[in-house]
Amino acid sequence: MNLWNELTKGIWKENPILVLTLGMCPTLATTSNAKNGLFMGVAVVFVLFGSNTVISLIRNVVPKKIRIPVYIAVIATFVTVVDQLMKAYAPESIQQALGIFIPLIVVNCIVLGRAEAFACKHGVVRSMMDGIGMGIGFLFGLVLLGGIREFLTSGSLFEIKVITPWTIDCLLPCSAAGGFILLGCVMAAMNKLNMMKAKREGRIYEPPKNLDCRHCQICSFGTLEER
Amino acid sequence: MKLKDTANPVVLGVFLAVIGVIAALILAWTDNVTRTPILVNQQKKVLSALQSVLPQFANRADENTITVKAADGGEVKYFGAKDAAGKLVGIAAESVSRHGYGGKIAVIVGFNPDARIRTVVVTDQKETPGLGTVVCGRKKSVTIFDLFGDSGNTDPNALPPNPILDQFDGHGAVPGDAWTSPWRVKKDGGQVDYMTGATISSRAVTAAVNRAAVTLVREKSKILSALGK
Repeated sequence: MNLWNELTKGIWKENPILVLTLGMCPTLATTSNAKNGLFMGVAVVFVLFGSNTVISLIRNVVPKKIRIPVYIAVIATFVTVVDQLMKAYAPESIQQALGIFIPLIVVNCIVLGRAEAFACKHGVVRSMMDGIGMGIGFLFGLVLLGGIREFLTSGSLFEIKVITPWTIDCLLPCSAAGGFILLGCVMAAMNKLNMMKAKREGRIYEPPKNLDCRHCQICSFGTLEER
Repeated sequence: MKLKDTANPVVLGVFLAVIGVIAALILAWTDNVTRTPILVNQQKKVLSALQSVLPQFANRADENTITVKAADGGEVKYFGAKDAAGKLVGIAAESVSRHGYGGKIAVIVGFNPDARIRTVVVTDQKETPGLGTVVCGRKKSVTIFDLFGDSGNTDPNALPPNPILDQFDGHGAVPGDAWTSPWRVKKDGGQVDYMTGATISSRAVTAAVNRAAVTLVREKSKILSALGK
């Protein structure tokens, strides 16, 4: 795998929301409109980039037995820094919308998942690329889902009314249940696209093989294969 | 033995402590850098809310304040706004109801000097999107026409209307007002129109506004002497 591949795999092939299905809590919570999704995505790109870099830098020093608490400390520091910076410099409406979700990035499984599955095994540059790619993939998923949900709710995009006569909000798409339904639809559409592409190229579509839980070492399943 | 494979609890503990200290240093530095902008932001937020509910004023209304106990045990914070000549042109009150559908609802109510309400805005709420937020929100709706600049909207700085919040305008807990205190929503036998599907939010807003109005009249001498005439 070359560097470009590490960057782009997160955007489509291993998209954290649509393929890895990681971080569902912030996904559903922040995508009731496209703008919130965009800013949540930006925050995650920054945190992922920072935490992946630091963790791959210290990967040969951290004792294996306490690596998870160390990763959590690194991630929590980055998240708090982002939180403070947003409070100081981001517009007020965004702070209000993201206030409760930013601290949630600390336990967001994308960040810890990439630390454990990628950054602790690969070099700094690759981990940076992976962090940015996964972050952009997350951002893409959030904005896509947020845009669909916002449009179906009130006929607007990025808080700009596109269909002006639409005055009464439709509540299903902006509720959590509607979010799940639409997320399922988006995943189905993505699989359909992948299959059509595979068919055109004359092969059978298979999901990426290394995405099952065995490549991660958080629980004992990860080490079973190596024994 | 390499550090990576060590199982010595002392080494592990020291390692975690070192990581903790480094993290604490980074956080202390960030806090140092961002403290002033965050404080300025909070002040700006209060000031912009005050500017939207009060007539034009020249003093620092967000610093000319007094907090008064209401009859129900809650607290109301009053802000005094003065013009350049030092005359009191309006009073704003910050009042919180804990009985919203999503917890606290904070309102800022602007009063004319005769204790009648000018404007009400909601500054903090966690109501259901699409229901409770309709009661609380004065959100400017931006349409696609605005982007091309032919929307026909007149004043870009005017406060967007809200049928629930605008009902309070012109009323006050003063003798002779058409509304007898305490104000309630129509469902509870009162005067205030409420939003179907958001009765609880409407009730909470009404209670918070009413408390600000009643306390202003009850404690008028105390408030006026603290804020200056």
